[in-house]
Amino acid sequence: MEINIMQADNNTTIALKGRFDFQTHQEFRRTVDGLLRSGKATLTVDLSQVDFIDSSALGLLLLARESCEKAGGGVILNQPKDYVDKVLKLCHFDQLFQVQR
Amino acid sequence: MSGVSVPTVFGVKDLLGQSFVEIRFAISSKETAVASAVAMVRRAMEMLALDNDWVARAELCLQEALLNAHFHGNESDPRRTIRVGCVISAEKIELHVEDEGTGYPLNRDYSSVDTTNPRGRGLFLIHQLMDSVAIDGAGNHIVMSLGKESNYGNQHYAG
Repeated sequence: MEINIMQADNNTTIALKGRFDFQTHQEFRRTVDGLLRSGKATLTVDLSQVDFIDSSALGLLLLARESCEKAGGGVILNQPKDYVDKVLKLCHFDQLFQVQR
Repeated sequence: MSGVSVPTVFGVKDLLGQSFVEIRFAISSKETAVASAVAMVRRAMEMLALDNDWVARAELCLQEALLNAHFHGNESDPRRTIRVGCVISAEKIELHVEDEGTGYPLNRDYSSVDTTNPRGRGLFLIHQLMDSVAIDGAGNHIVMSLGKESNYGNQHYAG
């Protein structure tokens, strides 16, 4: 999976591309931890180019949300593709996160 | 592919002329082998030009079952083996995953999920996305299927 960080005004976006799953655990956590250390507590995770998501990735999103909320911010999920959106809804992530469609 | 046995593959037509592929193999209990196994089965599904929704559901559930087998069943021990069997056709997909562990807790309710717990979502997704799920053997063999009922249940797959 590719991870790109984009900064525009006060918005920080983590743009993911490819498979978001157990193989990307460490890279995603390192990215979120690094942004939190630099004071970025509100993160948008751009899922528009994510083709596949598994339960490990859902767990990572929950951990990121918890860390960001402790720091006074939160996590927004942006433009999930249809199938990824279906998995998010099945796991009630649309009730836990702001999902921009 | 690292940690994946040479697969036994059957590609045949049944009595009704439907093409199907049957694949059996074993993998070492390693994350890299899980990824290779999922990629191999996905390629087989793509070769048969199956419905995209079925491919996506089967791919996710196979990955979840393999990760459960690796982390929980085999306790991440690379000396242990996970056996995999797949029967894939336009009519049905059936996936078998068997580990060397003590088995799934059979009395747990997998129909709901603790929304805020970062763990424990794999089996919930499997139950939500597959048409039927059964746990065989000593509880260490999960059989997941999409589509019509099949005659392949209760087999143990030698890799």
